[in-house]
Amino acid sequence: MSTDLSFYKKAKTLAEVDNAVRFDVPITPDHEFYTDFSDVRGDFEDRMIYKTLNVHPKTFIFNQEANRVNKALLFLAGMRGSGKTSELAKISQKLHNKDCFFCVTCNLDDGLDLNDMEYMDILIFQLERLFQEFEKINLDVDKDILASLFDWFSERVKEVNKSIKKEGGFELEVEAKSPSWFSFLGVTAKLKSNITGNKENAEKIRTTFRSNFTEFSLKINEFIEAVNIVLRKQTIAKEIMFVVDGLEKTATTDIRKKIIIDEADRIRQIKVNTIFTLPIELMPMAQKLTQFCTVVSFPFVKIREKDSAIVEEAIKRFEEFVYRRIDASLFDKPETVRKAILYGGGSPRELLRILEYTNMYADEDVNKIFAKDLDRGIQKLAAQTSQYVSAEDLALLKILKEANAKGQYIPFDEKWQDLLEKLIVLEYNDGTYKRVNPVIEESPLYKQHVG
Amino acid sequence: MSDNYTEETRPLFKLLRTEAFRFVIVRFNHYSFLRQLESDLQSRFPDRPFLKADAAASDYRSILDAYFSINRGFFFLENFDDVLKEDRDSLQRETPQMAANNERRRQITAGLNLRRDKLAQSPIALFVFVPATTGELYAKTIMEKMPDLWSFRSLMLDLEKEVATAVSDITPEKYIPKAEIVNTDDTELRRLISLLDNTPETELAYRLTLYPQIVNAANDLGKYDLAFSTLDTWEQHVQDNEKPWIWIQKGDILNVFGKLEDALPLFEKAIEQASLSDDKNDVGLGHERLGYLYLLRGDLNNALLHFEKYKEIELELSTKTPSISMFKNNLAISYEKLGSTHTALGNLQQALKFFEDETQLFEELFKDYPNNVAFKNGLAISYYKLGELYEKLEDLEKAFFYFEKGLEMTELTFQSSPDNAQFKKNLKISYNKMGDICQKMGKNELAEGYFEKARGLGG
Repeated sequence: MSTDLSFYKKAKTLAEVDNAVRFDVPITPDHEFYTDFSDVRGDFEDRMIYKTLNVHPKTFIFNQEANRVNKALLFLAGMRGSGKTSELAKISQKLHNKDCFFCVTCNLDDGLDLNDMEYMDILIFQLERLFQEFEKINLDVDKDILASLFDWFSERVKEVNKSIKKEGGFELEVEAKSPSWFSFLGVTAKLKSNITGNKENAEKIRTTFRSNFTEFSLKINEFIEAVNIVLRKQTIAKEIMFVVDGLEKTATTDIRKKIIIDEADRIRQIKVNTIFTLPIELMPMAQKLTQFCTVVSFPFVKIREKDSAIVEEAIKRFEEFVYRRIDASLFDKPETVRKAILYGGGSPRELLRILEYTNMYADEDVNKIFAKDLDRGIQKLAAQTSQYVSAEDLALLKILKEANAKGQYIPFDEKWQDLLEKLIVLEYNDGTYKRVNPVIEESPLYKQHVG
Repeated sequence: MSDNYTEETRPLFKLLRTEAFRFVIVRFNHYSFLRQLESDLQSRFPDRPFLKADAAASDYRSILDAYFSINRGFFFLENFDDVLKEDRDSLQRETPQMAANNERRRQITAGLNLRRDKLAQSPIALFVFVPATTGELYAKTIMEKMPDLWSFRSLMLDLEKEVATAVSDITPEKYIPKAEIVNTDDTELRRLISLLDNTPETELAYRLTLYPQIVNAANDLGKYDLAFSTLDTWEQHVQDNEKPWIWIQKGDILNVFGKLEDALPLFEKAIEQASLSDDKNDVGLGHERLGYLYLLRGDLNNALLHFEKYKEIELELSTKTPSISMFKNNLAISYEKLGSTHTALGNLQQALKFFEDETQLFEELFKDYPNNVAFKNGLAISYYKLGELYEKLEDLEKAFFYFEKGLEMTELTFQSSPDNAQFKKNLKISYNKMGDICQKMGKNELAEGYFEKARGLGG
């Protein structure tokens, strides 16, 4: 398995480039490839996230005194390939300390193999992850604290068992005395496996927890605060914070909307600091969400202004991004790297894809990437766009090009949202500024229909 | 046949040298590319495991289990176009069976998308295969159904080759779809022409009953010029909604003379007009003709598109009105056309399915109408198609079985009309075919017996 990041090293030869430009591997802040783009994302600054979390942006200390009852609920909305997961990893790493949070990351892709996910499932998964992390550090907690929640869960399990038919019932060993993190894990794991493995049981579990949700939320909140006290006493952290990543990958837009918008009340009832990644198509509903949480837009890095002027600071940061992965000596000249960056449109993943394609055409015997190799890679990528850019899309792109030329803004429309989700159009700043993906601009189809 | 395989796959093989997760989308216009790619990957990277699955016949769980059963290597997900589809009937409704299948497809696309990060943790190159007939914007569908996995795509390949037409058994004379077989007796034709000559032009209604009969008789006798001129005259006297069938017949005759480019607009015009009149039968026939025309041109992908449309229409018609055997017959023919085209494209498993469906329908028709020559003939052809396919698949036992069944039907047909030259020709071909297959199986004495029978028919 390639989650061992030590496997990914800077390329000193062309043969090593493929491994160095992997765009499917999320990079953590402590890795040599990591590049901090926080100050070049236009109107976005990561201090916005820290402030929302009541954390000092320089010292990374959580102001627990002034925020005894405040719990931050934050939705981070960004396009695919913008670097959200790496940014969240950075945030978690920075904030996971004794003066700040005990960070628990929940990757829904890893933990929940579900197409029809509900908020209840996510909550149970969060608890499972929490128990896993506490078990790892062998957090010493008063047995009474554990017992209260454990008893409550046990009662719910009994309720579920009653309603499940004999063939579908699950057996659970519930220890009456001295519940531990391990036994908690057993409960949540059993719940989760039934949710993911058995449709009938899943519904019964969800129904039981939903119908007892108010009590559930009270119990969880009590438990979370009790553990927060323990964490502070043991100078491990000030409070718990969850980072829930992968919500955008759930099956359909309707399911995502249901989880976030329709279940907003339930989300609000759980009093714990949480960052969710927000599916980009729900950004238009951000207004509704801001009634109870903070929505932060995480745009692509702005490499061009609206008037097409190049943002040199952003280009320099991307150069750093490239040279951390590929030795500068492998390029014929700096202009080749610059050109690749401009084609990337400010998306780290798209730039890595361009470098991957460029490397496919580079001659390993010469051990150099030339501008002509980049051109061939771009041409190949551009030609492929004819397989997913429709006539209707091109008509919209023409409108966008004209609007940008006149310095005008484009009003929101579901069709634009569709183009954003497909990365046919890229968004910058706080979403007010859009441009056509530069690779698409190179396609014969675009040139013919848009100019 | 020239193709772009080497050029398209060069960057792929370079990329694959680094063992890592890859998501590769392959569009192809000939199924042989799949086997070629499989073979090349296995020879270039012999230490890496290889596994494949049929997306059309699998569900999400089985695909996932198969994927994770290999820790590294290559995973082919074939017939991926199936999961991009959604079945609906002509009224956009889902039958229970369609709903179940559509749900299976949704589970696959949504599931793979959701598990993107998990899939990416294994150094497996995941290939999904989409035939060129899926449509130009197939990638847009993948983007919409699997946006996260799409964003992890490593490479898109578009494999193309010039494809030779497999029309050796679709000759113009056999092609003209008629229930009666060509004969040499022109008595009836002379009678009809005489009637026409002696009927005043003012008696249009009566003349209109003669034109179609003259066209049929003239075609049967191979008098195509006469048939064509009669169609011209007939066309002048009918409303627009009656013209599609006339245009189709004119197109058929032009095909006989190899004038494909002249026939094409006639078939297209027929479809357009028949659509306006909601005459589904003629729309279907128009598509069948266009499919055949593209087949003759060597454009198998377009041929397939039109044969698919033909099939959909005939399926709808035969389901709505099962009492009309013509629709069932046409449906069977559509399966045969699809099977033949898939055979030409190298997709033998798909072809097999179509020929089996064709055979089932002709068996039903033969059972209901044992004296119908066309159905007998259709059944015989379907058996031969199966026999030939099994021969290609190198299953000689099955090939023999079906050729023997085909021979039985051909003998029955001949016995019912021993003076019919075409039936005699068919029987001779059948004996020779049996001889060939027996020789391949090493049954030389039996083979000689069949060859002797063929020689006995003379000609």
